[in-house]
Amino acid sequence: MRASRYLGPRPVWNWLTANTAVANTGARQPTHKDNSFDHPMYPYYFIANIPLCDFSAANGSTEFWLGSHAHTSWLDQKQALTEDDVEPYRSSMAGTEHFRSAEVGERIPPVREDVVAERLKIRPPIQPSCSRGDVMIRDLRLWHAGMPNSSDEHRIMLGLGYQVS
Amino acid sequence: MAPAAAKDDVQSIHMSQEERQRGQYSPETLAKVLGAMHQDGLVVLKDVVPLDIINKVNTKMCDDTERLISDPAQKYNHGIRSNLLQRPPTTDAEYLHKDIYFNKFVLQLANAWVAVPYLCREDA
Repeated sequence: MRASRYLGPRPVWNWLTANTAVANTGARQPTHKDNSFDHPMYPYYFIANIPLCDFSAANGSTEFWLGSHAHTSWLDQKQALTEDDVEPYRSSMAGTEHFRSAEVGERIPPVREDVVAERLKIRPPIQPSCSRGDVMIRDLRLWHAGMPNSSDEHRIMLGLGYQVS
Repeated sequence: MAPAAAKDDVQSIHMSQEERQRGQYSPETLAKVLGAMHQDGLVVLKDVVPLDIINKVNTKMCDDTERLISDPAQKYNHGIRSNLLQRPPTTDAEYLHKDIYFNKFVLQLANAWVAVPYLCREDA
């Protein structure tokens, strides 16, 4: 047998966004995952979040449920029952048609409240602090939620998505 | 008295001066990064992007945010009017920097994150 062929992963950077917690606001997002499809149950995608200022709970550092990525499936997510359920998950760009990320009857990003309640008993969520100059890396399957920014400054982070091919 | 339980937190990974000069984590540091990703699903890579470009991009994007939230038609993330997505962050070349978009330490993690499938082939 000759030497083996080594097939390495070829990660692909295929998502670019930025997430802003607007200054002087008070609402939080539902605990959710960044997908609405039957995702793999192994590491397949991560997000590099690049904070543009220092983050803490005071300015809306994202809430993360550590370890939630490891055993979560699509079935943990809520099913959309009405058009109102899917409306927030339609993305839009000026001058283009709406793109629907889920249909009524399909799963949407928020995690079911009963599933969240069970996980809360095991490992409650945190809001990590980090500094400008850091990069926060998260598994796309990780449960999380945008949090209110009660400071006077906008809290912005870039988001770069890397997929294993 | 029993010791207080340690507060749960994300793992933060610092680099040595040598790693910074090489532009690469050592195998030992990379193992810590990968361990945090697999155990927690989250890790903080400390001090990997120069502050001058971060501060410059922040100023630009905060100005953009003010303009966006003044538009009543602006869409908000998950429909909650306290969080919005700015996509793309900017298209101005002045704010595109390799340490943000092609960061050596992030790319090192991307290339190491998933166990490599190993193909054995018997050549004719």
